[in-house]
Amino acid sequence: MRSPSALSRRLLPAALVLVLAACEPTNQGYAPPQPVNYSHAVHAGGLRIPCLYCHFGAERGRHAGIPPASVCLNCHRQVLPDHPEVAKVRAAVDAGKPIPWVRIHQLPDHAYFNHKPHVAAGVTCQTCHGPVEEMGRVSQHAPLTMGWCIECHRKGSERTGAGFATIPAAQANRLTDCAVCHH
Amino acid sequence: MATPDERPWMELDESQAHPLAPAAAPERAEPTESDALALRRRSFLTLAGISASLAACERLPVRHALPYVVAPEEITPGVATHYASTCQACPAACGLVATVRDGRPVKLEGHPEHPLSGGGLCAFGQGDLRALYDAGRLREPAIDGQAASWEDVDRRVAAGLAELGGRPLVVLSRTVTSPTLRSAIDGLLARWGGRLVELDPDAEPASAALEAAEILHGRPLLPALEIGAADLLVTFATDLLGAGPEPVVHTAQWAARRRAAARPPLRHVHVEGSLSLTGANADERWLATAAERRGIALALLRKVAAASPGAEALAAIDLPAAAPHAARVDALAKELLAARGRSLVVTATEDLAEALAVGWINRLLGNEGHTLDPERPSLVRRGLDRDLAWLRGALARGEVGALLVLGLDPLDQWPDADAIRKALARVPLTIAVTDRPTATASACQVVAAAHHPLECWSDASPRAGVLSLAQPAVRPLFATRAPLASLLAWSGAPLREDREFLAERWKREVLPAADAAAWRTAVRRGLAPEGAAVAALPAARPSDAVAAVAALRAAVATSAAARPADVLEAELIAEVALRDGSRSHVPWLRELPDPLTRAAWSACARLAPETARSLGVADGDIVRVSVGARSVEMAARVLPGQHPRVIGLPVGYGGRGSGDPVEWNATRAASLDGSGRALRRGLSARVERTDRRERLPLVQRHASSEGRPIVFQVAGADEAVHGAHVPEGRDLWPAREPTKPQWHMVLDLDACTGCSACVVACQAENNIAVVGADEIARNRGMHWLRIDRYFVGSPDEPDVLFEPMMCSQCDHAPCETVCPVAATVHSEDGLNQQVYNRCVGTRYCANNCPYKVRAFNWFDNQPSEPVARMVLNPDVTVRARGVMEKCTFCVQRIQAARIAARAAGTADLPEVQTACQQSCPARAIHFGDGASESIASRRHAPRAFQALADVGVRPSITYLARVRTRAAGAPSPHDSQGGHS
Repeated sequence: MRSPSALSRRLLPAALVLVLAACEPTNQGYAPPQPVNYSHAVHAGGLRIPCLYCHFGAERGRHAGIPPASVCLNCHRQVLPDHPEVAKVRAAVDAGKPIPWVRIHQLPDHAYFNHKPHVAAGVTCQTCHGPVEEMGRVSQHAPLTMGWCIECHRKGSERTGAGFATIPAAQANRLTDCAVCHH
Repeated sequence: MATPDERPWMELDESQAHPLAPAAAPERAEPTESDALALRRRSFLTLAGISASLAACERLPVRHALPYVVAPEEITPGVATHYASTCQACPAACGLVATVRDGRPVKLEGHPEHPLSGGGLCAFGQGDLRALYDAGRLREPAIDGQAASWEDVDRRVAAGLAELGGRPLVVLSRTVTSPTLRSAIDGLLARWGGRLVELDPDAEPASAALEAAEILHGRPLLPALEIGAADLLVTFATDLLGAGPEPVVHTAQWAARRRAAARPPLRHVHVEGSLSLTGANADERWLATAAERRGIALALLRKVAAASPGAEALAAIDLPAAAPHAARVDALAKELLAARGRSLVVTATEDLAEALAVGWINRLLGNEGHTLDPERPSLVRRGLDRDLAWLRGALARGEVGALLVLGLDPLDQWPDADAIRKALARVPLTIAVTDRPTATASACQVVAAAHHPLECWSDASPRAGVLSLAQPAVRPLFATRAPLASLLAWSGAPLREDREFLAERWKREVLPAADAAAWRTAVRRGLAPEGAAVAALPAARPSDAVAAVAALRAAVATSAAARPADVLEAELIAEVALRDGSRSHVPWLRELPDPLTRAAWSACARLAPETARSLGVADGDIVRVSVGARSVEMAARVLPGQHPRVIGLPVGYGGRGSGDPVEWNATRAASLDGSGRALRRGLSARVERTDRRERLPLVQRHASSEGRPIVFQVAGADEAVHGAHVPEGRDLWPAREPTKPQWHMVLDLDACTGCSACVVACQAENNIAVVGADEIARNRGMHWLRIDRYFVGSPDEPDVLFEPMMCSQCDHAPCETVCPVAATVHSEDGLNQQVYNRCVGTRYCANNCPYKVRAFNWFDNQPSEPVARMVLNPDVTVRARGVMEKCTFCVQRIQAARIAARAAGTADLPEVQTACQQSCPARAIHFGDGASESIASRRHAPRAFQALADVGVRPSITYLARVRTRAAGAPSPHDSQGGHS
């Protein structure tokens, strides 16, 4: 008769494989409802407002940033001031309380992503964030897994593809070093 | 050829010349109970695998992102802002640049443009950042022990001050280096009538030197030292390079002078009883008790005076009985006379005769105006014992109308705490202005909870003609108030805000043009502009040479009674980490091992090997040290190089809230003299063994190279190191195509003083956890950078060598080959990368590292209080339990430089400074591309060597050997190399 431990020794690997296959550690497709029903399709798509007008941090540093509520009111003091969603923004400004947006793109704490060099290299926002200008409610377009990041960084190391030609040769080969993202 | 005696050794039992102490077994971590209960490894791995895969199934938690409502203009989230300011951890007031991320300071660095400190920042100053986020800080003001509002506090103080009835208001403070704070104190005292008493609670006495300066130069201010102009430096028991009055400034001058290639090498002779960092770095070190130091100083004065015309009266001064080292004194006097105007003699003493003798030596040698400057004096020590004696008398007689204690804790620092407490209770109004709960605050009626200096506006003038500005780096965390604002409120000044008062005073008195632009420039630079008017000094009376000789004669006539043979001399010493103990609650500073004893967390009494043997004590045995009627118990630490009659007791431990047991309060042992002066030197002490032991948290043996040649000293800057050779022709590794840059570090051991500023800088930059005394004792310390201390030669008078050790980023890294999961791998630019998220904690890498520079996270050791976590650097991963970590050459800074280059569209990286390099006051650390001019020239210098080069790991760190200059013809017991031949 087989002992239970011998049985489990055979079954465990199979169980592990099943468990691992069943779920992929990614939030791809995550599209939570937001406190303000803001539409990128209207603003970025229809009105063609440049991404960097609101997400000005992307050029300057690590975080693209969610715009301060005051930025919304730059236009909306005049445009559609009575819209119920705009009223929420104005209320936030009047109360001095930030709008609790739900964060969509999240990386683990041990991975460091910085927008600045990507913008500087000419990587378009859509490369990672997908067709945001068509999204009513933003969802996570890319898997944001390490394999997905590395795939692009390898192209950068070969300096092929849009934007990568601007990378100095002296630095191109370093794009796949671990410490580029993990430090 | 080096003999075995010349090998460096770490502990006595490794010194083959004098096996004085019994060979102790190397300290190893003991198996704990949990080992017996452990799961079998296989089943553990199985369970771990299942739980890991299950954990992966979870979606990430819902997180919110809260943007600003209205964004401040100067802040971009995730981008650091830098504020130039002034360090206020001690009166030396070095320049500071605070790195602020999203509104919170995460790193303090030296201000490279500061005219005195020039970019360095000591361990103590960097530790001040952690004090900002200390969970034990006072959060609101209190009256009679009850939380109160600031309005109530101001009302209570105003009422109390209105009822002074002619009795004085006394402000008791550390030396005030801020001219603006001084003017506010003056305003308060002018309004209510009273007196400012300054007190320096340091281990190193300054009062006698101030009195001597008053006699010789006409005002009680210490002449500023210009070590850079000296060829011969003679120091008496002053820890200039360690815990002295201005360690960063003096270390910078000392190291720059040592590097000056165009001049003869600086010779440094140090006379002391208890081994200090300055003694450890001197070329020659003489052992002398306090009484003997007076004898040596007077003997030197006689010799110098005899060779100086018109100084016959000084040449005939009486010599005390204790004047040892006669032959050496003769030789040194000749050297001093040969270096007229290029020598410098400095002392820290309580003995006026010695202080005057040293002052006279400098005057006779014509050093004034060259190597020391009485015209532009140092302003960092102004506490006179006579002022303190007046205050103590006035308190005892009940003559003080109100006492305002500014930042000090006299109850903890004075000998007779009980008497002072009773006297305080009789003072009608007592106010403590402090950011921490202290013994004094608990005895005061009003506790005006103060801002941390990083929350305040202020300024500082540590030397005549130098003025810097301090600006806040963070909004106040608690309902506290700037001390300056409190003083303004109580003096009824029209301007109540510290910023307004400071700006108004600067525009009126300091800045050449009283416009907003000049003020903005000053704030941006943190410095007063060139040509600004700075604080007025007390006028110097013309000094009277005849009176000065008479004063010396009178001082020489007073002498201490000879000490019986069975009585030792206790000397109070300050350690570089804790200094006077005002920041003894800061975990970074507690975890910092003393560079000499290599003990972290604990106070230990330093005994010479010979003394320890005669007392029958070894490391960790508790000894009772009695001075007069008081006694203190402390673990013993046998320290080669200590004078056999002198026991060194560190101050700074045992402060309130530091968690030290009361009997370790060396600060109180400090002040055992009953005469009103807090004596610190030459105390008669009886030392007895108790039958108790303590496991000292010593880090010394944790990373022993087991006697292999790892550190070297040479007798001249051009002398090559022997015995460190790289093996050739045995390379098993595939050749790698070198790319540029290949990062390389050069550590100049001739400049390094062991001050440990780099260790704290590394800790702050890299989020290194503090693990506590027990874990340190188990060899589980987490420091990425440590400073190994070695002795060379006889245990009685050894040379001391310091060697900073961190990951060498070996080209042929032995850690990489043994990692089963490739968690440590090589990068293209020559870094040995540690990938925390891959690491599974086998610790094979640490075992295979020849330098023992890897640290393993046995526990989650990061602080849990939210306020304490605000100090974490957001650019560096906070490592989890079970993960290996080590020095990265500050790869986050390298990445930042690459990103900056990328954004600028250039292939040339901007200069990268590692955290340790930035903080180093001695500029002993050089970092850059190994092929660059500045690095390559140093790598190929004659005294360059690689640690453990024979292992063949090709480290990316090159050391430059220490140069030890001896007098021509002087005995050279252990010159030349330290390694095996």
